[in-house]
Amino acid sequence: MRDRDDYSDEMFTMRLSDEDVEAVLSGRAFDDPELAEVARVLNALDPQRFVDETGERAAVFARRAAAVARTGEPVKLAATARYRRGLSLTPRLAPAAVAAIFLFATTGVAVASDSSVPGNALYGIDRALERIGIGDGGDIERIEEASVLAEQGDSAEALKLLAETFDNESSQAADALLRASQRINENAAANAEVADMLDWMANTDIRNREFGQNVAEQAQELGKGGQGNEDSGQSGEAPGQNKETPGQTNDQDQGSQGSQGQGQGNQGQGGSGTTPGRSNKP
Amino acid sequence: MSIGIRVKVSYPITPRYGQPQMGHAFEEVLASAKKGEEWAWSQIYHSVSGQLVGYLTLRGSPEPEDQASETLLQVARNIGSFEGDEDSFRSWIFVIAHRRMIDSRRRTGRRPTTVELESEHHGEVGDVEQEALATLSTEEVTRLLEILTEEQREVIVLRALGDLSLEQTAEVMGKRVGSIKAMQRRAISRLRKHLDALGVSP
Repeated sequence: MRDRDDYSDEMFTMRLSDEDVEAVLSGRAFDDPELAEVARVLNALDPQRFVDETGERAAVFARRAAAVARTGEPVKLAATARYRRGLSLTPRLAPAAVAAIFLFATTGVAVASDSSVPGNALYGIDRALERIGIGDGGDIERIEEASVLAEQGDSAEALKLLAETFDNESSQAADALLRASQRINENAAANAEVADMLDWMANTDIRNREFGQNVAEQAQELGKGGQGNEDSGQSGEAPGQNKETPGQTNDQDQGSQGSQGQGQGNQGQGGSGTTPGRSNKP
Repeated sequence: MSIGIRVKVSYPITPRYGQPQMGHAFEEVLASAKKGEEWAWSQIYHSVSGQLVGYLTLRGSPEPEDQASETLLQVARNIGSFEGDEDSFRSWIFVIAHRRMIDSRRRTGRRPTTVELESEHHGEVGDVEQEALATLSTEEVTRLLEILTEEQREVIVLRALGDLSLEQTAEVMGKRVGSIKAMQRRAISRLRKHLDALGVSP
């Protein structure tokens, strides 16, 4: 049924001019009389209908926002609860907690210990996430969750989650990630490669399309042990073993706090002996 | 159904954009907002809240006003690092809102919460027909837009209600301009067909 709908939609779509589409969407006059009803529907999408007439919300918001902007203070959870009518504290807390775990795991900075004081401890994280999130236009929360999964050793699941994320952005990346997740099912040692990729994803400045392509490329190499290194991927023991715990790979960086650049090296691609973990192997 | 007749007709169209935009005042508002002046934040709220609350409502947010405030508080928290004009400011706000919706949807399940509307999805042709002559209610529009895919709906809402450009919409949804263009075409087309089937064509 859907298919038939889609087909006839297609017919009309072909006749529909770009000008008319733009016109009807922006409330201007259009040519095709068949669009009259559509226009009527779209005209009902009036922002004025959603304005709080009392102005109370605006006043409360302005006071809080001004304070937040002045002090750089994070939104206090207790105060947020007033907005949320107490019900949904967890949705706010959950991503922050996930983020705390993630940052703890990847940067080695002991933020997690402070997480009992949501206000200040999570502020920096939120800022960091914001930066990352705005930077790549992707679904940062999922990357965080995938990171946690990867840290727990469930790389295949992490990749599936990522594939879901990329479904919207880049089918190329989504496919590559899915295939990688299947490969990795039989190759537990690939966890570290996945962790590296996630690290890169969280730190890169590369944007949308290139981001997807880059992820696709990296995903293609996952679980293969890098180019020209097929054997190690198949034997399934060498490449990642000494990187299974993130702390181990990070020890070099901890002193310098170089958490930002850490993932940039695309370690997954260089697979053969270029990762810090491997070269350190006794 | 009149096929292929192209007469230049101007339909009386009521402007959808009820809310004042900041325009020339934006720079000053932004500077003052960064300094934490209340009046500036009040301006920002008034300039965007209708569109933001509308967007969140149409996307199925259970508490659109709360989510709008939280979105804007997130803006306040990061305002120090924002540089740009009003257009990119508005894009930024919707990027945050978009992400919040994805995020909360992942927790509550895949579909947005248009539960109370879904139950009366069918068999209301008469109502729609009647109402089509007058202005449609938000509930009716919501119900009509349900025939679109979620992404198509988001594109339509961002463009028509959010008053965002093609480019801004692409930025908010993290897609290419070309795919937004294709989606809105499809959406308009499907909507038209649906309305036609309801028998409300002129």
